[in-house]
Amino acid sequence: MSWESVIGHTWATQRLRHALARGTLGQSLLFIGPPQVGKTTLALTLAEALLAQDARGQALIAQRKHPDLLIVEPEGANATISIERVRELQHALQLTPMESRHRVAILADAQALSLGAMNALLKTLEEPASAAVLILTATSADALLPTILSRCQVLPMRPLPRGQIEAGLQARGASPAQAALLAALAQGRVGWALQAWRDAATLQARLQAINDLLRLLSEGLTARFAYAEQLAKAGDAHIRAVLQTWQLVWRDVTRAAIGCVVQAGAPSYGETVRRVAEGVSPETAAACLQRMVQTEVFITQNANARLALDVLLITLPRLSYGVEPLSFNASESEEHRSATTVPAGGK
Amino acid sequence: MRVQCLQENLARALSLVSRAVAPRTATLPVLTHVLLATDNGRLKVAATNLEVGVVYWIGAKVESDGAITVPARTLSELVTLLPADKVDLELNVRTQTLRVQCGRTDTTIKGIDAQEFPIIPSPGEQPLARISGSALKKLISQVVFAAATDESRPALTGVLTKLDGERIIMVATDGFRLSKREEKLLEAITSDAPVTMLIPAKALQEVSRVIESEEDVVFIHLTASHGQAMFQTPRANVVAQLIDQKFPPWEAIVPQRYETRVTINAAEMLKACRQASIFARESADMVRLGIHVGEDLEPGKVTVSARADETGENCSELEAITSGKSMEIGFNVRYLIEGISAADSPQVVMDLIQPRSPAVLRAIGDEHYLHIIMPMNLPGSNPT
Amino acid sequence: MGIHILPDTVVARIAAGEVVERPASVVKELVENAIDAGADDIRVECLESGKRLIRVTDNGSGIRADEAALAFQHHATSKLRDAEDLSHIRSLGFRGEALASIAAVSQVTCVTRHREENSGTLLRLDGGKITHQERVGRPPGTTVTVEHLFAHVPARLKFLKSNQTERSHIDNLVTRYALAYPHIRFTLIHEGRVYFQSAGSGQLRDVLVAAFGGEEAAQMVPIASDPLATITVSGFASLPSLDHANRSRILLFVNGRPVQDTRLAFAVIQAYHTLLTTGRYPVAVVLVQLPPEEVDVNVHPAKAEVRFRDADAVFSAVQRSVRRALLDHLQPPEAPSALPEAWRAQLAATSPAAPTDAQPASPLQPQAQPPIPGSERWERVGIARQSSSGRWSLPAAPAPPSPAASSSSLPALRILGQLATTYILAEGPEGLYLIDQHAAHERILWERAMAQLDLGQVPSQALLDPIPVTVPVSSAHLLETHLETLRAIGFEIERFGNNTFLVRSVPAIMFQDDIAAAIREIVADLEEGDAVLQRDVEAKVLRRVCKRMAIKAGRVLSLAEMQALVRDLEQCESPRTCPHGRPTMIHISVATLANEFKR
Repeated sequence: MSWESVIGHTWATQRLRHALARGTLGQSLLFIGPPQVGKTTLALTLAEALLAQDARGQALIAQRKHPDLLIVEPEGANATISIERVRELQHALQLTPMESRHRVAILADAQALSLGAMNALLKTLEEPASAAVLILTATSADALLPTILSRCQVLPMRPLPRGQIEAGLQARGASPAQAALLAALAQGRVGWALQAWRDAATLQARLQAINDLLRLLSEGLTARFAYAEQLAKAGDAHIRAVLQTWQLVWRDVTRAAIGCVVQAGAPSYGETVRRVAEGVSPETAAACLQRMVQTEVFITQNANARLALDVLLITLPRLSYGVEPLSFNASESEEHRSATTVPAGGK
Repeated sequence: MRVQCLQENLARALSLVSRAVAPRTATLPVLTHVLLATDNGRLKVAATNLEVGVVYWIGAKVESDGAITVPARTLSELVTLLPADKVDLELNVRTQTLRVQCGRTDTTIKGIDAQEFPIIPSPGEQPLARISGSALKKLISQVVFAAATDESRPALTGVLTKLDGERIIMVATDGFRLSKREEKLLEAITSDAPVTMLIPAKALQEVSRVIESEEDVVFIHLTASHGQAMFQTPRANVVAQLIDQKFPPWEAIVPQRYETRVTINAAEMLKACRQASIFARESADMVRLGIHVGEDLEPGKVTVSARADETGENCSELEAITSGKSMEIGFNVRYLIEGISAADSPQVVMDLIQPRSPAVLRAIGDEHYLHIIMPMNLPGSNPT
Repeated sequence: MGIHILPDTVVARIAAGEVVERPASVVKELVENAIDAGADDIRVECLESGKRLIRVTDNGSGIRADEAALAFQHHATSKLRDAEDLSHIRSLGFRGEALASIAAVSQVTCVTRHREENSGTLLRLDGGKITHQERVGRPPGTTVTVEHLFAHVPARLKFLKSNQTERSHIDNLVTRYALAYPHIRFTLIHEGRVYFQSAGSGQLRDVLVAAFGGEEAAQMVPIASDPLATITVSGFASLPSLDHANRSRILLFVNGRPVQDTRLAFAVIQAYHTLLTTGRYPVAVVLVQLPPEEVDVNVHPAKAEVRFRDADAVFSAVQRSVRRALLDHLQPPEAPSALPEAWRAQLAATSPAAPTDAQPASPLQPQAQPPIPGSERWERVGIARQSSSGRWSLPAAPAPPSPAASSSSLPALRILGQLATTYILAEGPEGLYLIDQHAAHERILWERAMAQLDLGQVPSQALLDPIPVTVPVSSAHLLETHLETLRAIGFEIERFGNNTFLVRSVPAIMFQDDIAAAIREIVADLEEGDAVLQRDVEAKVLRRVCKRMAIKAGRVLSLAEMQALVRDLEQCESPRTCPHGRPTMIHISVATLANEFKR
């Protein structure tokens, strides 16, 4: 898990490496970026640089088992980080390290901290023990107390360009076709791409959402309402995931409809997008994209999911022709899964 | 690894390291295990919870070297039930399982690779200091109880330990009372400058447990990184992570004068306090001491009283040697009981200034012990 | 009629489905029509929660004979004409399309007579088509009967919830309109039995009694705002003695139309800041009047949302008015009994809402508190808060709510063990007791602290070394003004620099606590409150201290600790609730157990 093996995020890794080299690394860091963009991976890489002295140390960090590394993540039914977990972390951080010169704590998804837990954390951020390094990750700065933000060195992490993800996957042994398809569908989340590469079901779920959309485009209202009814039952998290996937595809469709070249290395994906775009005017495509975004907002605001989906699907353009579903080569994926060890990406 | 040892030795080792085993909720599973490793013809048994590590060596017939970690609880429960006989331990490296054979019992326990176990440093060649086991035990018992158990001020969960020339001083406080004791080392420390460490109170309790005999000599080490303190007995080594925090400047708190001095029989005082404590529960354990300084040649006396609306009242009167002025002062009875018990002396002296100032407890005939308790007050009552 | 499924009609039905989601939507449209027709007596009858039959009868102006057929057809046909353009259908909206939409998904019979005509009209429609029309006699007004709702639309039918849920939607709706239109007499009949009737007296309080029951209505105070302001707020709001587990009892009306607006509801909740425990919500009926151009009610046809031109002004008007109403009535602490005698007399007159059998009494109740299966048999010990107990019966005479009355002492309990490291299981002569260890300990500490406070003797423990505490700069002055009060309960604090304070002693029960954090919490409490009297401040701070010091959930207790705790609880005056009003225990009687085991 060397710095070189981090996919993308060159700016962030360089800043961290410089800070390490010059001894200006803060004791409290905050990595902000969307889910699965690589925050925890970067935090682990930094932890390795701080803690690991030999191969054993590196292995223990990769397995998240290093005695001087503490990882706290949201847990329980409502995925929160309780004040008790923060207290444990504080207890560990004020002790001298066991094997290294530092004790590193990674607090993943800090936006899941309860208010009490955030307040408790302030003390550690204010007066960290001399050996302690606390790395927070969060999907957004908005959900954190301003007092937490002001005490951390903040490192923003953006979604990666498709090319970087594609290259990263290939470097890890994915076939060019596979890497291209995964990168096209990853929304810039390298963690998702790695996970989907390892786990066919993850990729399959996203393909399913896309193929459902492709199918509905040439279907009438009866089929669309039936789909809405079914999807509405799947729960808000799933609905939002589907809508995000649709937005991903539809952005490319809109681009293609306007006449832009779609920067997706995967020929099958690019072909699908172009095929859809042929039957949609740029205005319709843009309006529809807008509605997909809006529908997701409605869902987060607790709208009646079924009603919202009904409306979205009523306004989805209808194609007079069918579009071939997207597929991927399962055997190829299988082959490469066991090729090399794949570092953990996101959660 | 193939080792043979005695059941009683193994059981004793497991029991001594058991309190350093992390609870089952620990984030690293290996911390709920004990390490078994061959070490220069002996068997090393070790546990750590990343705050304190305990290593204990027992004699063993080592046929081949090796190391493994196994669940502490499982192994302890098993070994206590084994007959007092020879125990054969054998590691299967491929499956990382430990085979335990004793008498007619044959067990295999699944383990975790010893590589995952945190490295507990070994003592270096030259210790920082040496102290007699009995002196260290007393030192710990008179100080550690006053440390805070609550984590809100992490520094107070530690015991300030200072080695200076031929002296070792330990101080602990929870913010309401403070306990201090100093002892002589066997010889001056090997460091030129005094050494100060903040050791978790829990770690010192483990040190006390591994001192098996009054005659043991304990070697005190500080690791090269100055991050860990080690207490090495002939058969054990306790490694404490230090607390990386500032201890409050305690010397400034010790009063330098007194207005009232009372000398009382510790046993009688403790009895009076325990009686009063029954009636103090409803008022946050508050008892009142009335100190009556005798006129001219009259003897002085001390009253210990508590009252509860629901339960009733209790008042004991004790004879005492008093000097200075008479005074009434309130204390948390638990602090009184703990402070006087720790004095471990037939007679204790209490120096007071006024009802809102710290009280100092000392043991007659042992100037090394000092205990300070802050009083309790009723805001409604008028301070005099 | 399944045979007629042409693409257009499918669309019409689905479109109608957006408005007519459930029986309550039908009731809503019909009641709104009746109100528009100027009726002052509206009767709503339902069979099988409206799934089989909904009949709304009014004494309004009625429909002219030559327009009757049009009412059901005009919009419907135009809609069918445009059916190809789907997005257009959506943008048409459905306001005023009510009858057509309803007719599209049910069998409708309409009998109406315009007040200026001599005879009336009977229309029968099936699936949106008129099947029968004749002249009939009836008094002026309209009766619309809707039968077999969604019989043609199995997809919607499948979506309907249980009878009880659908009924609660209807109950809720009719009650809301009754509250919005006190001068209209509303009668709600289920399966031939009258469940709710408002007097139509024009007095909102009469409707409140009918809707919420006398006991709750007695704990509600009128809201008033400056009648000359552009935005006026009226209605009733509950005193803190009455609260509810969720927001469902905050009923909002904008210009006479029931609305659901989370931000407006939040404005009401804000008005209760510090008056209610967290997680409890007020009961309120809030009517906002403002010039029609200031508000757009038609944001979403099915969803009763509103959009205000100047939202902030509306929210602040609501919050201020409700807050003022509360504070005016809270001045004497026993506010409920200070209500006008006339009101109390009215409460005594049992309203038609009084339940005649074990059915849920209030039209609102089932919606407000969906019953947990079997929960009604779990008798809650102590103050069964009227709002949360899940059922009540109207008292014969209006008794002012007196929580103290129900806090009887505890029987001797035998400890059985600890559950989930949170509850103590104990056996008493009456069965099983589940005691919340944190709440119970809080109660014990609180009573002791208050007893000590009464004697002016809260023991204070001095600190060896003062602890510095930094508070927000904005709070420093506030803390300083309360230092004397804090001293009375054991906090010896002095100002030390700008926003730093030194704590020299603390209440003696605080021996193992994060003192700096505690002080910051207390400051936050002080900032929130309106506690002016010293005694109130003292009580508030002690409540915080007790909460902090009480045994936390999740701590393993030894048998001896549990015994001591229960013994101390037995000594308390109000052992059954914690100082914040939550129950400390649940009692399951032997009889209930026997029942559960079907013995």
